[in-house]
Amino acid sequence: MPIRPIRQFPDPILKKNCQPVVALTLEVSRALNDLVDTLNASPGVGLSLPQIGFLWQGLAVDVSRRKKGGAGHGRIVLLNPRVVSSEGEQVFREGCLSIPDFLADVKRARRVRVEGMDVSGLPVRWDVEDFEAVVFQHEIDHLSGILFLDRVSNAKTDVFRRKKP
Amino acid sequence: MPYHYLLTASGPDCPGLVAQVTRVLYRLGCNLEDSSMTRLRGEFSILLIFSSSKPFVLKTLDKAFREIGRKNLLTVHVKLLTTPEMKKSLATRPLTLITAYGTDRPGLVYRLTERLARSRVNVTDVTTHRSASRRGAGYILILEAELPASLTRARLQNSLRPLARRLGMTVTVKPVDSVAL
Repeated sequence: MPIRPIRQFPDPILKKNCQPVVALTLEVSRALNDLVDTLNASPGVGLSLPQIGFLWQGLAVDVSRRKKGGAGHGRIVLLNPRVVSSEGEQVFREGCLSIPDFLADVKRARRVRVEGMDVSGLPVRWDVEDFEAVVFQHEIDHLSGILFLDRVSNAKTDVFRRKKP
Repeated sequence: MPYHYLLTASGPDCPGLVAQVTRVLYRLGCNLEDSSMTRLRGEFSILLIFSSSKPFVLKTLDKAFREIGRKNLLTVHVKLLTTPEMKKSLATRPLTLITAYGTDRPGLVYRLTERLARSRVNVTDVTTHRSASRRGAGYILILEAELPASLTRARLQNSLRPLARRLGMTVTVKPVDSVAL
């Protein structure tokens, strides 16, 4: 399965709303395989379908790819995800594979319950917290064209240029 | 009643610039008040307010900075701040954060800030970033501003919508998050 180029800001696809997946067609399955392959080939812990050029509501999260991320639930591929409940808050310095130059401190819920559909079309529910909750909320934002830049709340303390390696 | 001065300095970045500038102020017996210092690409810039219990002849200050200016290719300028200027520096209203981003094109900053000026919005802080990717160049603007009492954030957001559409930018208006420490 091909590793696809990750769309980068200012690609207009990143600002579009994604359609829900109504049927697990061959096209959708291929897109999800590409999503996982592209995530695995990237330095990231989460990726959404619009970031590789598909306007469907789908994401892949795997916080175990990050040393300090904890195991979390391992790799999760989810379609039509939505946050059904949330509690607490946390501020985390986020980066994004689609905006490689910047990091920003973003305030999000500490624990979220996410519902959606798995790759076999079955309804699933995940209760995630801490770093994994951040990644889910970040990727779900992508499905509505929301970037972490939209969540910045203080110019002086929130946005940082990523240090060049 | 202390005397306040504004120092601006800019020049090629190198290690030790802040130390050299502040050493001069320390030796003159001055106190550092607010400052903003940053590096843009290879250029370092300082905007610094300092105070002193005794008045200085500006020539004395210029002379004190001449040597480090020459040594480091720094352009240094010092001016006396009046009491009304110092009082003005205190924010009178809660600040508003305006974020705008989209594909880079000429005139983005001008058009947005010109629209803000027409609404009597006073911009207090501007950070911009240009970001190049395979898809072209993106531009990110983050402004902090004081809104006139008659203008709500919701009204400002609405009034910026047509301009944002024309420029192909995402513009959001929200309160600046303040953190109590």
